[in-house]
Amino acid sequence: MSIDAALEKALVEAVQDQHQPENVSNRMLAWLTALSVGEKNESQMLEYFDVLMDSIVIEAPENED
Amino acid sequence: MKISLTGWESESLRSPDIKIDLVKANGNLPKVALIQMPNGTGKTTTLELLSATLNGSAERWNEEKILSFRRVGSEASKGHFIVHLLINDAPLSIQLAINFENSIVSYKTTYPSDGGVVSKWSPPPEIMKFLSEEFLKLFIFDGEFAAKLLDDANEKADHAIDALCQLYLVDKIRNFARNEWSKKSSNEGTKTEVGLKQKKSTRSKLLSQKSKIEKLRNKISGDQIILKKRVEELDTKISQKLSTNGSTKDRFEEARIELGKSTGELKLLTSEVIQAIRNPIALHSEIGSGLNLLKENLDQLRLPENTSSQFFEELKKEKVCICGREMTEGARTEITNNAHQYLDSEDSGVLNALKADIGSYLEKDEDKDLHEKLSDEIGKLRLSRRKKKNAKSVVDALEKKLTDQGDNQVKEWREELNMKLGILQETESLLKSIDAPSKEERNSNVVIEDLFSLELINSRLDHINHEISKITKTVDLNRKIKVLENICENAIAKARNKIRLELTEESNTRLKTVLKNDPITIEKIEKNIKLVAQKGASVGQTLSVGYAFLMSVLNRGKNDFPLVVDSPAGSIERVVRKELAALIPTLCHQFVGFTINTEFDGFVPVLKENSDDCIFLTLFRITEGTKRLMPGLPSEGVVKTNNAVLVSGYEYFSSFDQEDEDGI
Amino acid sequence: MARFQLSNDASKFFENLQELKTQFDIYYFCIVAGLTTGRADELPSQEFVDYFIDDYKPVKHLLIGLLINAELKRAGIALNEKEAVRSKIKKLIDPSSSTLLTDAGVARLNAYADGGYLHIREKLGIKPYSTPEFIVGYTEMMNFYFDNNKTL
Repeated sequence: MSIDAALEKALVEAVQDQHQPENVSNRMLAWLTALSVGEKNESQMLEYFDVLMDSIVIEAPENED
Repeated sequence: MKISLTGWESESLRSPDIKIDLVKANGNLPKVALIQMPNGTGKTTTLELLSATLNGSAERWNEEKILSFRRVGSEASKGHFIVHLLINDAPLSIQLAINFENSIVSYKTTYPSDGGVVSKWSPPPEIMKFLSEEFLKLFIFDGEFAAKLLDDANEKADHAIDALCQLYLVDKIRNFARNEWSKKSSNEGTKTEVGLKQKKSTRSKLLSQKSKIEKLRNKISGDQIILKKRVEELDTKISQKLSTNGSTKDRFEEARIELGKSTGELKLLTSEVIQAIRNPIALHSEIGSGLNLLKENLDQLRLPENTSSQFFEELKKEKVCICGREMTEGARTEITNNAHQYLDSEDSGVLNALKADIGSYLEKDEDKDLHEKLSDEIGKLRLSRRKKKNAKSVVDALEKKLTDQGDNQVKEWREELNMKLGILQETESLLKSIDAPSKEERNSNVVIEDLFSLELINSRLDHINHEISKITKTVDLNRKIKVLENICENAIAKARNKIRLELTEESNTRLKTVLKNDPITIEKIEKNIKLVAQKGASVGQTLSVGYAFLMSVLNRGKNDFPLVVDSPAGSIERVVRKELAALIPTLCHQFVGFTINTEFDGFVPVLKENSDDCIFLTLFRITEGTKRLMPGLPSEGVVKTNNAVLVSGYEYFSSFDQEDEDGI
Repeated sequence: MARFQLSNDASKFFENLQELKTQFDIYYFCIVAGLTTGRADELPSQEFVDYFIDDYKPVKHLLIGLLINAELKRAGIALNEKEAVRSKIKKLIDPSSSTLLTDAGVARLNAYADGGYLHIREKLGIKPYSTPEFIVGYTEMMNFYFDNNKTL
């Protein structure tokens, strides 16, 4: 079961716009695909979430001690 | 993906008990199926059950909703509704079973190519998205829906796009992330960037204070070395200078030794006395007596009682109270209300320990009690203090004598020595503060700038570093979620825009065919559909545009869906009905329309004319009002159940006229 | 959870006494003075610990006993009034807290600390400059009080 092609393309572009690596869009697409076939299990959702968070890159703040 | 509706069955529900089979005798599905159901037959109920069976939403019904599907006056404890589909020519059935007695709904899914029956709502994954509540509304809807797609007051076009592309799933991800952050952050302390900044600022101050105190300590230590050296030097110089008077000097030296000894003794005694004084009973016998009296009275009062919460719980279960009276409900309530006033087992533990300690301190079998011992120690302390004082006086007197016998130089040295000793004492005091243990003081509210104890500063640093680490994780999570939200928002906007453009193009292509004699063009799709020269568009054109858009949506991705429409011609004029009737056969591979008799005129004949592949069904309830219709039923194509009649055929369909409907 | 509190003035009053290493040492002298004389007050204070430090753990029950006595006396409850005694104890003791006292119990003890400090200051007259001097003065103060006030 695939995600709509336009949504997939839009997602990839949106990820690039945020200067995020490719695996962020891969993981989001995987999560969307699971949702599209009715995934509701809470622990599964949490796993998708954790894995996605791990892939998102943020810069360290400028003003450290 | 091609989905077709082949029929449905209803039993013991509010809708008529009937089986509707849309498949023709030759096994094919007609392009158009119209089902005529007079008002009150259960059209709305049927459509509602159709949707609920297909999208699995009945599992979320409450008791009231469940019972609303029970036929009035019926004693049936159960009912069911089954929908039959073809998925790419493979049959799929979904059954919704309602148990009215227990207010429970259940599903069964039968998909032969997948292995048979599953006792739950379980369509195959590849069609699940199309059976979602959002998507189902795109092909099972009421007749006004198509026009609403162009209505400024509605956002139906966007909703259609969202449903098609499942953009709502992106929202699900976004909402899940927000909820997770809320959960995680509600367990921590200050979560924001501001909170983290404050903590880091505090850490900065602590580090600065630590550095300052360490430097001070080093300086003091260095100063002390110099001071002590100078004190020694001065002492030696003074002594040497005064050595001219031998006997006075000898006595002076002896007096200094004696002073040193008595100072040491006093220090030791003081320490011992403080230790002894830490027991209040030692301070005065009256204190011990007062505590003993408390103990004795508690014993006499039998406090603490041997009661526990368990005792009261068990007492309430008895038929008779311990006072001998019947254990009524009122008595139980009183016990429950008053039990908390009694000392429970934990309170008793403290009191018993208190009594035990009093007993043990007072009942010690020794020669002297604590107070007497302390009094003795205090006596020694007094003596020791006096001894030191006397020794100091002797030293001072002899020193003065020696000084007087000496010269101004000795006086100056003496002055300098006293000053240096004073400074030494201050530095000792300061060092003591710096080296003070933090174990007892770690929870003090002293401001950072007033902190001297290095141990305390380090302890606070450890604590704040730990807090920063915790907050940093939450703050980082928050930042990541913000990134995710931006991605989601962006992706939805981009997808929507792209799809709008695609659908505009596709709908316009479709419209060129559908309305070739009466062309109209979609300018753009936003929350609703905007036409070029919209104000000039007729109702018929508007309707056509709505349907064309819907079909573009439904056919996207090479999918093929039926349209199931409630009252497709209900609220439109005759001339528009004709246009719609001409349009419908071109829209999709299967059109199922639920009509009432009043929609016949201008719609049904044109539909029949434009499609050579139609079936016409008439369904009505068997009631007092419809009894008169029974003799007029045709000889063929009639199915009767306990409470309904289904007649197939255009002739009966077209003759089921206004008068008959009024009579029902 | 409520913490023990020492008045700012008391901290300053005892600052020369090197051998009184901790705030709890000062707190102890103040509360014993306050609990035995029944004097309570409320002064600007600073919190410190919320437990009995090691030096005072062996006598914590005795101090709680003194608190119970002082509170019963303050409320005019005789030691043989079972219900009233039980009720008062219930309001002061909390076995689950690190002080073994309820927040109300700690608040009362802090009040006796403030009162005790005031009593010490009045009776000693001057700020003590050495610990032996203070100890001698303190014990004389306690003796004087008990000799002139029949408590039992």
